[in-house]
Amino acid sequence: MDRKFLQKILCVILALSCSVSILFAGDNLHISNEFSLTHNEVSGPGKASSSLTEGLRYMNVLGVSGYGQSQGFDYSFNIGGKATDDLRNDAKQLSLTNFQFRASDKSNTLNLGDTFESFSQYSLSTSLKGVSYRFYDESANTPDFTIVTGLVYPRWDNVWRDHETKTVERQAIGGRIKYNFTPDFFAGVNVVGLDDDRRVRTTDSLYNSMVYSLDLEYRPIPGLTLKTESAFNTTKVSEGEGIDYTTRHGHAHKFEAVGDGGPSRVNLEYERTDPNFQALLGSATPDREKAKARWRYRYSKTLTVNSGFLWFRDNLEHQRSFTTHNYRPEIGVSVRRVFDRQYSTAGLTYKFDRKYGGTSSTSNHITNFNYRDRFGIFDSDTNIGYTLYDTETRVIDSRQYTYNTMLSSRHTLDKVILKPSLSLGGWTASDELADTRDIIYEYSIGLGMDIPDHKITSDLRIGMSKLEKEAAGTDDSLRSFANLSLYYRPDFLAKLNYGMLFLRAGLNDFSYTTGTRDFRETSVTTGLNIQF
Amino acid sequence: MKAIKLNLVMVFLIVIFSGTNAAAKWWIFGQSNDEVSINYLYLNKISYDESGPEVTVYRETLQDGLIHLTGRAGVRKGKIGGIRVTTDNKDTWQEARFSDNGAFEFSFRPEMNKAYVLFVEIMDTAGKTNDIEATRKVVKLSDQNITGLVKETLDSMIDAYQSEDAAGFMKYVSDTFTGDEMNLDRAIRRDFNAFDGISLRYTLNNITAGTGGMVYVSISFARSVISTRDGRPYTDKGITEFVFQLGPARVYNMKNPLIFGLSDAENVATGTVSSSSGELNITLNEKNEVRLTESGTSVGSNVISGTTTLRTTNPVNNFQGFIFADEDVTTETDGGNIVGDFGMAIEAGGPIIFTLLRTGVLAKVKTGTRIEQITTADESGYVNSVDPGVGDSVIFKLSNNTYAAMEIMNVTGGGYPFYGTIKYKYQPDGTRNF
Repeated sequence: MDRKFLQKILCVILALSCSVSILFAGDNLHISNEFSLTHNEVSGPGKASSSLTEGLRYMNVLGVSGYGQSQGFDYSFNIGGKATDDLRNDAKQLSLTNFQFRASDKSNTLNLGDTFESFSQYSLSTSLKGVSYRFYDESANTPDFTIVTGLVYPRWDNVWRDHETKTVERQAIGGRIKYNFTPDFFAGVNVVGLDDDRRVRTTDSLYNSMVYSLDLEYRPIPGLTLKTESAFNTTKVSEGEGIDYTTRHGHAHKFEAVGDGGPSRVNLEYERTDPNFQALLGSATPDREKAKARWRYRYSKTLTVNSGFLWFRDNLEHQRSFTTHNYRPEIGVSVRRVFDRQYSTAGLTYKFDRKYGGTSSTSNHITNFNYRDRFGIFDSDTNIGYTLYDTETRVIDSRQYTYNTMLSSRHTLDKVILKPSLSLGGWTASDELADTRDIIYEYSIGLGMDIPDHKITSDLRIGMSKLEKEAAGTDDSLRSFANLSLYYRPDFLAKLNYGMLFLRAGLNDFSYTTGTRDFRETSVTTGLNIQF
Repeated sequence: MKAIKLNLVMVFLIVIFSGTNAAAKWWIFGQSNDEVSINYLYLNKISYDESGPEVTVYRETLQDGLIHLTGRAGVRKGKIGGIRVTTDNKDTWQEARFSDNGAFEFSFRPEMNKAYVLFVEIMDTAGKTNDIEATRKVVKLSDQNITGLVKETLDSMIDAYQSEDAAGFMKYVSDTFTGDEMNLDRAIRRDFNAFDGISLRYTLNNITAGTGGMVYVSISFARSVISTRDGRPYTDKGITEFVFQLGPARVYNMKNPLIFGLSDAENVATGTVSSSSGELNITLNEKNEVRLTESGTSVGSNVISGTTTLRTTNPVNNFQGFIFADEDVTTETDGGNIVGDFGMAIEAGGPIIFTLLRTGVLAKVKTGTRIEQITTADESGYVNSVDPGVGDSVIFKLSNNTYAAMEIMNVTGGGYPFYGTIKYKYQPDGTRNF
């Protein structure tokens, strides 16, 4: 269908929706709109590396939502659109961002448009453009029944199949029945089907899949929750134009125990996901066996210990040349009121990464120390980190140190609040393979200024970051920056729920050893945000 | 090294034992010394304990317009006599439904923008009650568009990521993050080591509030970074997706192309956004080197890659080959006796390139395809003889069931010897992912 025609339809839908909404929703209608104009200037021989689009660009984001009651039904709607001429912000100049209508009574819920029914982790946990219906009578404890169908697209423009956003057409249909056998035990059965069509490129894979899953939750004793899900799928896949479909069968299982009581919270988890299990609408990593434990323990009002352990491996069906194991234990301690100082907090964490398999073997150690305190008029926040990357196969052997501290303060001068701050930081990496050392120095100073009586908040920050590299063929770089933000809620917008004018300006200057990479970008954005 | 470890242990012990006035108690999971207690309590399926002293509930996420309290009470002796809930700071109390085993539930329909101060009272038949003050919670129903909440959370995550504040970033990640929060935590720290000057901008494409307090989010992003490995700037853009859990908003899952944790995309992302744009996105390999791959899918953890030149002195019996696993160019050899995984014979007049395969090696030509576009080796369609041209790529299925790919960049030389420059990559772990 003609693009311009569809865009006109979109505008008409938005306009009609707004009009109808205003007519029917009365006081329960909310409109938000943010309009901004941005002027970007990029100069220098390396300007292609900038992520800004040059020139004057606009952006408008409109949202209309409302709710109410009619003939025994609660209804709500939510419509949104975005318009911009900056193709880095969006591939489309005009797009529908949200379109959702929901109506419900005591036991029925109907949803149209944007539909997100999260059945379970493996079966369905993504949004559709379609329709869903749910029946559940809580007072009669009927089975909780949901059906859903629609197109699986990240945005509405995919539905119109515009050239810029066209992707494989993916249709989904699914159903879930959940029943609460007791207040402590429920079971859910999920069936979700998916069918791809209409390749955009000859190399696009097309899938046709069915997932069947059962999820249970049980609280057998006080403080303990057990959850489990098992899923099986059949997936047919054609990996390109003219390539026959092949069929795969996969399964995934997950078990989780959560203990929550007193000062402790404990999570235990085991998961096994077959290499051929494709959670195209759910969430899973194929070819994974995983065990995980996490324990948070509040030893006292001032001391908390967090510990965790994660192990996972691949090659479950011996389909790879070798198996890779990962061990990721960690422990952290957080202490408040250190040395009886009222505002002090100290934290120390240690994380270990062990990964081995085939010819690769790595052992990484990550240690961080954080200390926050107040010294006189200054609040301080200091971090020191040490990371050791150690590989037996000489992939990356490096010692890295990070160190940064921030001092901030707050002063009230009559009707003005000043918030000066200073940030100093650095990073040093010693590459033992290349026998080189890289260093980053960075600093910035900032000044926040709030004038509450005039509803003004602002912040100015100026700084630089310098990367120095030793290795041949690499670049040193120096980035200097200045950022200003100003937000003002003037009285003439006070009639609205919310009205704000804003200004954001930024300057970034990048300078490299290789002069042809240098560039400078200046960006100024001003806009108006209103909600009523 | 031993000294460093010893120092770490010492610091650890000092921090644990300094300035604490710890009570002498140990892990009392699931137990309480109180006569009457609450064993668990959920507010709209979110743990009461985990949600903090104040909770904002968003209208869009209430399926039936109600706020539900579910829990289970325990009494040391006797039976439960009654369970009451107040929503107005103890001015009035309402009975909750409960069963003999202590399970109870209570629902109320909140009004917009009104603060409800909740307490829960459990009383046994002897008149003893739980610690009522410990159940205090302020609940508000907001008609704020979920968009505002998600934008606020994403902005905070991006701020923390750009300022390389790992702890600040992880505050916005759910304990139940499907890619495992321990993986994401390590991945972002590795990102911070690999990048300097991170700049991320985004616009929202779609936000959908779902059941169970979940919110789906799709964004368009534009990013620029400086690689600390080679000191060069990189930029990319794309579309990605998140699912957030509400109460408050925490990331539940993320998809490729990732904007956070891309140094371990293989473990952090659960899925890839459906796209046919062919857009190349930034990712990192094991050496923290920047690679551009389609949809930012993981650079296989052990992928070997590079560029080399193969010489043809005589296309019949004197041309070089290549062994992917060793990244070795083979010595010139007699035709028909291929020493490498393949040999490349270049013949004048075109030039015509013959790629000769060692026994057991199969290949497939991808005409006019750049090697960067090959992120996954095809599952089938391999043959034992291919004749690619300049600008074509070839995927190899090697005799040990591993996969490799090469692109023929150019052929130089006015006459023999000819030189063919190739880009290659090899995945030794047996998967088809590059």
